[in-house]
Parts: sequence; structure tokens; C-alpha cells
Amino acid sequence: MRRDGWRSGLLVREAVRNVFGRGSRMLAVVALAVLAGAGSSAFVALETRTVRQEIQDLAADGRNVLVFAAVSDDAPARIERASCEALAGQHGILSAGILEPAGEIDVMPVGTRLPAQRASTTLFPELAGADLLVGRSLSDRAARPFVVRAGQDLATAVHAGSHPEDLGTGASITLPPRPGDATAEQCVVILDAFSDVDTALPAVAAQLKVTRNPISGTELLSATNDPVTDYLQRPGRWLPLLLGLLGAVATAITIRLRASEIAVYRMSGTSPVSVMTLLTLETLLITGTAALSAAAASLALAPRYLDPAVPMLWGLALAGTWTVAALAAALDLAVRRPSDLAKDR
Amino acid sequence: MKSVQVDVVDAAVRFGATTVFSGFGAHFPSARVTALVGPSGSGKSTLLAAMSGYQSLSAGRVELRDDPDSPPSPPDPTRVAWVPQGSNALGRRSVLDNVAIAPLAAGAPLGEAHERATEALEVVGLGALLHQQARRLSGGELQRVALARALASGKELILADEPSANLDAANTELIARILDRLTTRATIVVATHDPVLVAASDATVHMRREVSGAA
Repeated sequence: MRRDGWRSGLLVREAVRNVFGRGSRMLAVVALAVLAGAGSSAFVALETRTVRQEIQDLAADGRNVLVFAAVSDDAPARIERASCEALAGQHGILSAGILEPAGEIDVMPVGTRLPAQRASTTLFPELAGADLLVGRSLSDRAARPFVVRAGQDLATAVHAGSHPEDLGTGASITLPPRPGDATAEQCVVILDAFSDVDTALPAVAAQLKVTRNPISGTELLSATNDPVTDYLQRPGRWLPLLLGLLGAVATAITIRLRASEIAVYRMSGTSPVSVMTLLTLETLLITGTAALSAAAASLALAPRYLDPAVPMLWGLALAGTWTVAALAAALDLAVRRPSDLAKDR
Repeated sequence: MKSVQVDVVDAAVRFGATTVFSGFGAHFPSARVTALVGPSGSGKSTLLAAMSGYQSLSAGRVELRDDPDSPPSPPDPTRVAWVPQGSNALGRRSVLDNVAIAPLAAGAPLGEAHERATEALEVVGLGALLHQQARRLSGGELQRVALARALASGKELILADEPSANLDAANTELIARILDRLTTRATIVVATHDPVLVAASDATVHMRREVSGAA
């Protein structure tokens, strides 16, 4: 294809003036790019925040918390403590450890005859910094460890962290296992929010060493819907791409309305290659504006939505869709006969 | 400035079963204005496109020569400036920008392109409107902008397709005078129905409408 003499820098200058110049026809598309970029970021951020909140709420109710114990109360089983605690830190597992009832205990000044349980520090990591955990509903909150009398001994206590309600940390005293506790009735495994329970159950069970009778694992909360799957399959996930296509249509229409202007370039000696380059640069300036707007909105929203990466990536997807679709719908103008283009007004 | 002579030899253009013209031959002398006349549909615009290299011939050839004794070369869009029918312009850009495009496309740096554009606009009498937005101009002024663009391009062959269409008599005469002045710089072929432009031309080439082909 024939080339002309256009210098690259001057072609860029031409594209900038055609898009951002005073009174440019493309300014309406630039405004659309700003709105689409920021709107897409806000929408994605809002959706992400909603699903995270839902996951947190369900996690507090026991979602993705697995409890392994004997299949039947008539056939008790013992799970080796070391095999249970070794699960902590594995891929997809937040914490794991044994958990057993431990009768009642007097902890002064918290109260007398309080329900007690023993749990691994790998299950409740805050146990590593104190002798016992005090349930949040048993005493007023203390910011730092405090001294209590447990039975006849002085002990340091901290309030239990936020754990699923059915694990009992909220309304009881939680003690670490005794050195001689080599086995336990229950092993509790807390998976991360994105792990699949059906896949994890057999994999975890296979790693536990069990004596006497067989065990089975159940999830503390069996939710009827999975928020992660719902999030991944929501129709709204296509909105940024849809906005990209909408922007592409607007861009292509605006470029086509400028056919007689493109004729001016062609009849002035500009080659089809340079016209293609010019149109590509103009489109990139517009979609770059959309991506920049998406990034700016993501950063502005970051303090409220924690992670700006997701809306930013969707902003890039929007800009990419916009660029490819707009150019596919408009680049044919560059190779049309200039005298025909001149008649398209 | 150099200009070229153009010879069209036994040329034909067909679109499917439709023949636009066939067996056509003509000579367009160097550094002259030649009027290309004929009824609508006779193929004037198609012939201009063929002379510029934008349209392939079905038969025959177009030959460009720098002088009568030099070897012929085929049509080449990079040697041709085209003045379209109507008022094509970058409407939201200044008159200067509209004209500077041509030297920029030829590889001139920005400063030189502006100098050549300014000079060309002076030649066509628009020196006072350099920074006016093109969409604010009248049809006649836009036609002169197109001529200035052709002049600023420095091309040896200017092909004008009905440059006086929709212009009043005064503007048509002005265009005719400008075309005459441009012959010092280029060979000019004007497709036109306008008797004023025909009368002002140095030569006239007639085309007739083909009767063969599909309806």
C-alpha cells in the first residue's frame, strides 16, 4: 500500500485536535467515555462490595466451616490432633484444629461455672498470645490482654476474635489443648471464602488420621445459594463490555458522519495507512479516556471498596472492547475511494 | 514548479455489465486548464478517478509525462491533488489547518506547512480568514479553500470535479481566474458543465454518454 509523508508526531497532533479540539464532533463521545468508565467502575465496585458483605455474613453463620467427627454417636472416633493441626496453612484453608468440650470453669472476675472448651492455637490463633479466650458475650470488651484467676491459677486472657457462632467462642471460655491431648473427637477446618466445599471435604478427610470408627465431615452452614457462584454468573458482569460496545457504536457512527472530512485527508494526499493510523489514534484517545476515568473512579472509591484492581480491570476490558469494535466498524472508510467519501455528507 | 501532461489512450471502464465509457482517448496539455465536458453519466468523475490512480481501467491506459519526450508513467495518487465537487472540509478546524493538511501529508514540517498554506490562501484571496472555523465559510469560500489545499500540496496535476457546482456567477468567475493563475504551478483538468469555466479553459475535451450496458 502506498505511503505518504506524514510525520508520526504530526499525525498524533492531528488526532488530538480532531478529538479534543474546540467544538470537535468527538467531544460527545469523549463525554460518553468519561461516564461509561466511571459508571462501570462504580457498578463493579458496588457489586464487589455487596458480594463481599454477603460472604462475610454467611461466614459468620458457618459457611465454609467443616466439622469432622464420628459418623454415629454410638461409634465414637478419635482424630489425631497433629494430623488435624497440620491442615492449617494448606492452600484454601484459613485455619484448622481440634475442638472439644471441657466442662465448666470458674474464671474470676468473668464468672463462675462458665462453659469451657479446648481448641488448637492453629484454629484460633489469638490463643497463642494468652492462656485462655473469653467469649465476647461473657464480659465487657478489653482492648488488651487482662489477668484473670482460672481455678486456682492466675492467667492472661484475651477476648475471642470473630468466629462462626457455632464454634462456641462467643459464649464460653476457650483453653488450649493440654500437652497430652494427642487425639480429639472433632477436627474443625475453616476454608477460605472461595474454596469449594464439595471438593475440599474428601481431600481434607483423606489427610486426617482416625482411630476406632470412621468419621464424616459436614459444613456448619449449608446455604441454599452460593454467593461466589451467583457473583460469577450474574448477568450484570457483562455491563462493562456492554458499555464498551455501546461506546464503540457511538464512536463508529461519529466517525462515519465524518466521511467527508476523511475524504479531505485522502484527497490531500494522505494514504489509507495514515488514515487508518489517524482513526486508530483517535479511537485510542477516546478509549484511553474511558480507561483513565475507570481508573480514577476506582481509586476514588478504593477507601470504601478496599480493592480497586477489580473495577480497574473491568475498565480496561471496557476500553479494549470499545477500541476493537469501533475500529472494526469504521476502518473500511480508510480504503474507500476518496471521491466516493466526498459524496457522503 | 513542474507540471505534467496526461494522455488517455483507448480507455474503458466497466462496472459489471454497465459500460461507463470505452475506446476513449484524450490529451491534457501540461501547464494548461483543460475542461472536461459531457452530459451527466458520461463518466467525467470516473475518468478523473482513473487519471488520479484511484480507479482502475478495464482497458486502455493513462500516461503521465513530465515532458513530451520523457517515458510515460502510470497514474499515481501521490502526484495528484483532487478538488472535489461540493464543500468538503474539516468543519470544526481552522481554514489554515484545512489547507495545511496537504503539505503535512507530503512530509513538510509544521512550520513549513503553515507557510505554504498561508501563501496558497493568499493566492485564492482568503488570506484574511486563516483562523476562521471552516464551517463558518460560504460555499464559494470553501471551494477556494479546496483549491488552496490543492495548490499548497505542490502536486503537479490538479483534478477538479465540478468546482463551480452550486456557486453563483461571481464566485464561478473567481474560481476560473484562480484556476488560470494555478497553471503556472500545475496541469489542471476540470470536469464541468459550467460555460464560464469552459470558456476560461485553454482546451476542452468532450465525453459522450455510452448507450450500451444494463439499464
